[in-house]
Amino acid sequence: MSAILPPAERLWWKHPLDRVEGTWILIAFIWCMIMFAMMVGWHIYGKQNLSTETYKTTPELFSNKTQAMVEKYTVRKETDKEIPVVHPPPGSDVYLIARLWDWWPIIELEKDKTYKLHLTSMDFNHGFSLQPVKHQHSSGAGLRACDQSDAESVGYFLHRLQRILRHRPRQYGWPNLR
Amino acid sequence: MSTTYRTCPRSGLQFEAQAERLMLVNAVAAVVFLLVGGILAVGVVLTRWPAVHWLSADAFYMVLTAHGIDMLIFWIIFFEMAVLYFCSSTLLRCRIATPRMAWLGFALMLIGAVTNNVAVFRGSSSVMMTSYVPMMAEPAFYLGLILFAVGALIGCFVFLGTLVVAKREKTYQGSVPLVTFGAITATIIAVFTIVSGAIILIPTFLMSVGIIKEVDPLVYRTIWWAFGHSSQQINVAAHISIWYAIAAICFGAKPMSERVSRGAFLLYILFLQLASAHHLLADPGMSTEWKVVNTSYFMYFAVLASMIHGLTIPGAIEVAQREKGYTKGLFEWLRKAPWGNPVFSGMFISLIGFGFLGGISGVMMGTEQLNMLIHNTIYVPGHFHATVVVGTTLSFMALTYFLIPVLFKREMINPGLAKLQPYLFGLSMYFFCLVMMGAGTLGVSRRHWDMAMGGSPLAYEFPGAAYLMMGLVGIAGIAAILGGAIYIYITVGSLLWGKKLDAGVESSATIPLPKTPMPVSATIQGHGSAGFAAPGTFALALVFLVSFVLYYFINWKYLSQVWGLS
Repeated sequence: MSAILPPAERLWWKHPLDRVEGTWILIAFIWCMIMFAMMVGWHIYGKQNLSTETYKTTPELFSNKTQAMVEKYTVRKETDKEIPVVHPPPGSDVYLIARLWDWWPIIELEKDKTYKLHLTSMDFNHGFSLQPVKHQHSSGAGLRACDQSDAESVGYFLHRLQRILRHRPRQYGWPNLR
Repeated sequence: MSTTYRTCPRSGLQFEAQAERLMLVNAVAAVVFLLVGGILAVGVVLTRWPAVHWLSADAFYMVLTAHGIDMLIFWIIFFEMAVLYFCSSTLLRCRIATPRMAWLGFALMLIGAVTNNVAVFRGSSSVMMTSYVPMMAEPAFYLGLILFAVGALIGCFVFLGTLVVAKREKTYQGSVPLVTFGAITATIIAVFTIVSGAIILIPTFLMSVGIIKEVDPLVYRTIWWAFGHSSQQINVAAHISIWYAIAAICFGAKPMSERVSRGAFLLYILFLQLASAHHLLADPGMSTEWKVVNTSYFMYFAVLASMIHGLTIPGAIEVAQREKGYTKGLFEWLRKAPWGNPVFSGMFISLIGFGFLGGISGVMMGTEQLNMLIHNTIYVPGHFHATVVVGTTLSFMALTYFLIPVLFKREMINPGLAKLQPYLFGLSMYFFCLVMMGAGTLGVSRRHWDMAMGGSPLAYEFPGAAYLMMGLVGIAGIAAILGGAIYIYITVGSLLWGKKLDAGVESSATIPLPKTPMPVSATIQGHGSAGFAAPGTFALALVFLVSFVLYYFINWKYLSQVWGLS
């Protein structure tokens, strides 16, 4: 019977299915398994996978590490605000702080070199977005996510990176307090 | 408690007096919040339209917070309460269980919704719907949500109690109708959702009044999304039930196979809530295994369920139409469908948009690695407006056009305008979602008041296409708001000025549903072709599949070109 009336057969789980339904279920099931295999397979064969390496930290600890990096590797300062531009050696640990309304400091990385990038927030939830490379991450207060970026196509991006890392925070629901 | 039952002369449906009043007040409250949310939407779209950029930052975040909560929570859940009472008391022809408790639930929901809105409009709770700690709103903000949730939970248990009443008083025989089965699915998901909300919002409320010192931000996000995302899963189960109901109402369509449709609802119960992991894919703290299993609804079983409903609902319509003689070619059944009836057109526009725009984009962005491409960009609102607005809201609108004469006992005013409304609202929302997703693909931020991040020492310049698309978001948004306004005008206008219709015969006892005379295992293949009962629907499903596969792999190709990271 119609969908708003009780089914004609009490034992609805014995209701036969039409060939069109059976065929579609099979196709859909195969497609679902392909999608699942893609996600798992990309971890094995793909190059773009998020690190889940996470450490407990505190704003003070992280801030000190960042400050130490800034003192050691600052090569110049930019803008009226005198934001330090840091050029850490390849392979080193790089620290980036998120807080209203900044990412700090500006980081300059070399093409084709690998770095270990640590992110954390000093206050609220922040999002991390790298344009136009288009990686989007989150950093929660009190924790740092650790991504090992293989900077293989820097060229154009490198120049942008230093500018963008610093100035494109993704706000998680917070009024603009500029 | 004595009560009366009214048999509607237009639909044959039987309404119990208490349940009918409860449906009425819940539906009216829903429409009021839709009105408030719709007015707020004007502020949102005219601010994100870069050339207009209307509201100040503070006003924008306040308006956006209220818009999200009023639309996604209050409009939809009030309406869903009406749907639950309809699917239990009306479809099963029984009295509603504990009507006083149901009224208490309604009162709590209303008080909670008003309290929350007052808190937001006072201006110091602009924390967005997500209200992530440690950013705090006023205590009244959380208290309002908690009261609303408790009220809704009471409504869920009244629904379940009503099922018990119907069973005990034998008002129907055999199993409950498929639509009621879908409503049960929605209720089970709702209980999980509301309890999750309570687990995280109660401590956050206590933190806001100073009793608790800290709620961990990552724990908050994890549990809040079991509430936040699952809210939409209630909606999915509810609006799919409504699609089945409308197919039955407009065409007398019966499910192709009860086993398949109910099996798909069972998959929802088991796997749909895992999707809250979508929101945590970029979070630290979760393992890869946790993300992969959850974000895929455990190997995409809930996606399988949605793909099944996407076939069986139009399939049931096709079978019913073919039985009426519309058997020419693959699509005569669809061409000859009542496109001028807003109940049908609204439902069908909703179904297509939900599948093509909401479904495909949702699976893409829910893939762990692909998520990196669009996480926290305006692509996300593009996706969820396709699911919540095109899917849920438009389905509720379509059902309302059926309820105006049946439940509200009024003749619809301006039927010509009502005919146009689903097209204007639905198609402008299609376009709205598409351009929003386009802008998100270019990296435009999800919520920021100013996409140009003006005032930063080193601003980022988006390509001109991003500005163009955000402008189109504004134009399409205004068109959709106009469509929404027409819906409210027709609904409220019909209630106020529509011609009163015959209420039908009242009786003091229920007339139980007659035993269904249909023969067991009646064949449904008589009018199809190639051994398929619904070949046209199958062809449409294949078009869907091809779009799905192409879009999915285009995004993998795109991902493979960005920087590596591990």
